[in-house]
Amino acid sequence: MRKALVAAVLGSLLLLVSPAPAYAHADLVRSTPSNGSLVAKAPSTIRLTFSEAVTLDASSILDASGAVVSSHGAINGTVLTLTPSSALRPGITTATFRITSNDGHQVDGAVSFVIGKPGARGPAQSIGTTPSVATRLNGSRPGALTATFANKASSGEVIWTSPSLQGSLTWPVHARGKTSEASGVLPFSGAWTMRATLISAKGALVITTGTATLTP
Amino acid sequence: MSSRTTRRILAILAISTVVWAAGATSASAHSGLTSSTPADGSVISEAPASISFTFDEELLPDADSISLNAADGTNVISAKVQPTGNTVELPLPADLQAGEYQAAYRVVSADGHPVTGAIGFTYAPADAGASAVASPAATAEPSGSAVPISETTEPESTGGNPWLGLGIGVLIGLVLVVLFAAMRRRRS
Repeated sequence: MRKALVAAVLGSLLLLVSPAPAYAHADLVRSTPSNGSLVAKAPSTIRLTFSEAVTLDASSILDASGAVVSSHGAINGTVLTLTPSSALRPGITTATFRITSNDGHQVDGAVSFVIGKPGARGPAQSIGTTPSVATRLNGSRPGALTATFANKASSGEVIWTSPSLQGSLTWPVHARGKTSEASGVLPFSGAWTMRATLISAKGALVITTGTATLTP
Repeated sequence: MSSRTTRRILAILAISTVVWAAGATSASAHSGLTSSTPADGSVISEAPASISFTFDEELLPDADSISLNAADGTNVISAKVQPTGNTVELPLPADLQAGEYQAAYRVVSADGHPVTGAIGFTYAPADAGASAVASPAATAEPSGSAVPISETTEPESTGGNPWLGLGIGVLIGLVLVVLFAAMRRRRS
């Protein structure tokens, strides 16, 4: 009887101790091909590396039209490898993932890149933002694009979301003279909501949101 | 110790384990903003002496900063701040102009992850009509939340971790097995 009690107490203590240190999210660290890149040849696999070991909930590869390309996703430690069933076709390609990090947080994300030649960008557009930071996107069609901000930021990120994509696309912000810019691939037409966090070298921070519209 | 007492203790242990397990997942998130002064979307008639942000857990004193931005995107003031427990605060200049503002923060949560976010507020002095403040009608417009911005840097949803769930399930099972064994031994 006493043994059982001791076992129960020990079991509970173990339970209390074990999950405490696991207080971290998994972030996408890099991918091959990298997000926003142009690659000459279709890759045989898409590899996504996370900051910590994760469990895979779902993954997919989407073609330029947003249609799902048959693929298999497998996770090995921190690396998710997506293998398409047949060779990827030239054009805008997107890999999406839903993973769970060891603190129990589910993270949705995506990377987009272009296989072969980039398509026509179409006319540039200005993006109205709040608070107002003059923002220009150098095109209006899906593909490789660059956003320029009239803000002397040296770091930060732009997060793009769209009803047509589960997860979001993240572009890093770099200084560019007296402005700053971020580049990547927006894969589909329609409305894209932008949330730009612009951080100056001295740490001044502005977070501005706006919407760009892409036509097919 | 009577076996009834023992059984009660075991039952309490089992229940407290379940309660603890249920609460565990919500505690393991990044720092989340719980409140701010001024509040998000507020219209205030007196100039705030400072801006403060309070989070649901302690902050690391590592490059935490607060910036105040005008509606036209210009930075009014920005500074590194030292957290006091769960709170960071930035004193403001006394001569704040009427208008819409964004207060943005970057803090480092206890797990070492930077968290950025912002709130919006409108400063509309009550005596603006009588004083020399330019176009009070325009600046006094209640804008609601000037900045519809969520508080995390990462796109994420809070779902359950299947492994955590499995582990908790197994441990609860173990506790119940022990409980059952204790009761059987009592019976025999």
